[in-house]
Amino acid sequence: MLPFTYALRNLFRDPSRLLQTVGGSAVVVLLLIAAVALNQGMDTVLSASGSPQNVILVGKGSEKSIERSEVGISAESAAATSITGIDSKLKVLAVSGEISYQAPITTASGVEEQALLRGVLEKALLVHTSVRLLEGHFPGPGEAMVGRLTHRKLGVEKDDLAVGKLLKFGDTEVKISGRFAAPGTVLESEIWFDRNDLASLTQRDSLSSITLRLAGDGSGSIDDVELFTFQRNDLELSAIREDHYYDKLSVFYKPIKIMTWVTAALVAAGAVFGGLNTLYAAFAARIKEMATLQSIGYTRVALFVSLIQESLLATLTGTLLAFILAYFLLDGRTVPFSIGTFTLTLTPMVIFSGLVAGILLGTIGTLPPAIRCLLPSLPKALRSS
Amino acid sequence: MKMKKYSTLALASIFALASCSEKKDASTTTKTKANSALIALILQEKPTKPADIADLRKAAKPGDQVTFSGDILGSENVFMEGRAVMILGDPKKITACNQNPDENCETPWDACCDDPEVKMASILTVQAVDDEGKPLKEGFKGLGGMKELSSLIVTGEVAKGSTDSNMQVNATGIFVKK
Repeated sequence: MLPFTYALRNLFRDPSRLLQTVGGSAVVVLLLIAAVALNQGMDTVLSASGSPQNVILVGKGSEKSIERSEVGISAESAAATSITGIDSKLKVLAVSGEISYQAPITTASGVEEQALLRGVLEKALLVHTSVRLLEGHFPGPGEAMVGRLTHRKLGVEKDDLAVGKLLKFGDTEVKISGRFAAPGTVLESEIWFDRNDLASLTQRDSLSSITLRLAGDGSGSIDDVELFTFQRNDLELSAIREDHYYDKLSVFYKPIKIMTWVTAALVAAGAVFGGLNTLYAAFAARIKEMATLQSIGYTRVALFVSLIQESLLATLTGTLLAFILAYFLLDGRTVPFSIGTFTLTLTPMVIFSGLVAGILLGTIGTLPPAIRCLLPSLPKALRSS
Repeated sequence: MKMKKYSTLALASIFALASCSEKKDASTTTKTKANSALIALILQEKPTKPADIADLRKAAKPGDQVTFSGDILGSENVFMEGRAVMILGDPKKITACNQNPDENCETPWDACCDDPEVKMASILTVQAVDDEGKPLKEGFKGLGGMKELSSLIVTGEVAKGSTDSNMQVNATGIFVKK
């Protein structure tokens, strides 16, 4: 085997080529990390937003969008009294009729942006169990409560949505009464209004949905809720498990995810071909050198391993650079999308994907030029210019 | 010592397997009971003078014995999976979408082309219940060849809790028209 220092020294023979290889692989790995983190972030927030213990009742035909759904207000009490196995706290049943609405909201600094509004009563805390009040209090009439990441969704400074500040819905002003967290869910990008306030502001006399939380002891099931929808044809309801609802939304975002991969793949392909070109040129210039090493006793396999070592050193340096860049540019960054905000995180899976990409770039990318360099017979290679 | 350990393990496995099969047997028995109760509902002879669903909805009160005809239509999901509950509609008032020319609806039984108010007044829920009044845990679909848009004649009792705007019938007999 050739000494490792041979591969190391060869790296610095041509600094511009080294920079090109390191830079190219860093771009490819960074893009891949970004694509994996983006997809994982979106999947994580959607899967964490729905609980298998929660069932949503929506209007028939609106199973794919709560915003479009209309449910009669009487359905809330009908569901609470007819369905068995609903969770309860202090004898209050976990049934929350809610209004979901998207509308422009103006912040104290005058920024007007589309916001996700939810009209709720205190019972909402019995079904959305991940919600924790960070400061202030639950909104009463004339008040609203903002999520921890709502400022990111609205594209404003955090202070703009501080407790006590005002928000404008049309011409109506509401005071921010509190700030809440619902870690990893779309809820923390929303603004929660008093349900009656939002009903009058949006001039609607119906709910968007009713969320029920089934008891954890297994006494209730989705079948009981579905049975209720069959037996109460007049209410025109459909039952869907909350986690299944968000799974379906995830399918809706599939084209965006595919676009992310396609963009990453296209840029990566450009970088890979550029890298291949550089390596072809670099190795082609060393055919005679390789032949000389063969003639003094080094096998083709030893030379091949050395070339791979050299290439891996460059691509893994690029990978390391990509990780450093990703740590500062991507990790913890929140990305707003139509129904909430998700966070990019460098999870072990993301890091593993980047590492695998770096190793593949260094090995598979080196194969064609290395084979081309080592394939000619020894006399022919020694005679090459 | 080792032998004793193995015997204990073997015994535990036997108990575990036995309890598994007991559970399976119990669920199979419940299913068979439900299935036989449903099969018993199928009528071989066609009941006479069935009423139309739209007329029944206007006249019948909870507790009334009724005989009516209707088609399995009126909703996207007309059969509830795992429960003896289905939705029947009045074919004289609402129409399956595939009967409209140039209509390629994937679920023609949802009668989506009809006026929602007319549809609401022309459908009812048919269920087969146990002694406690709870729907049997077996679906209607496939029973006696029943499928979406099948025409049926049902005899039964208007269930308690039925109102002017919503009607449920506890079936005592179902005739599937061929």
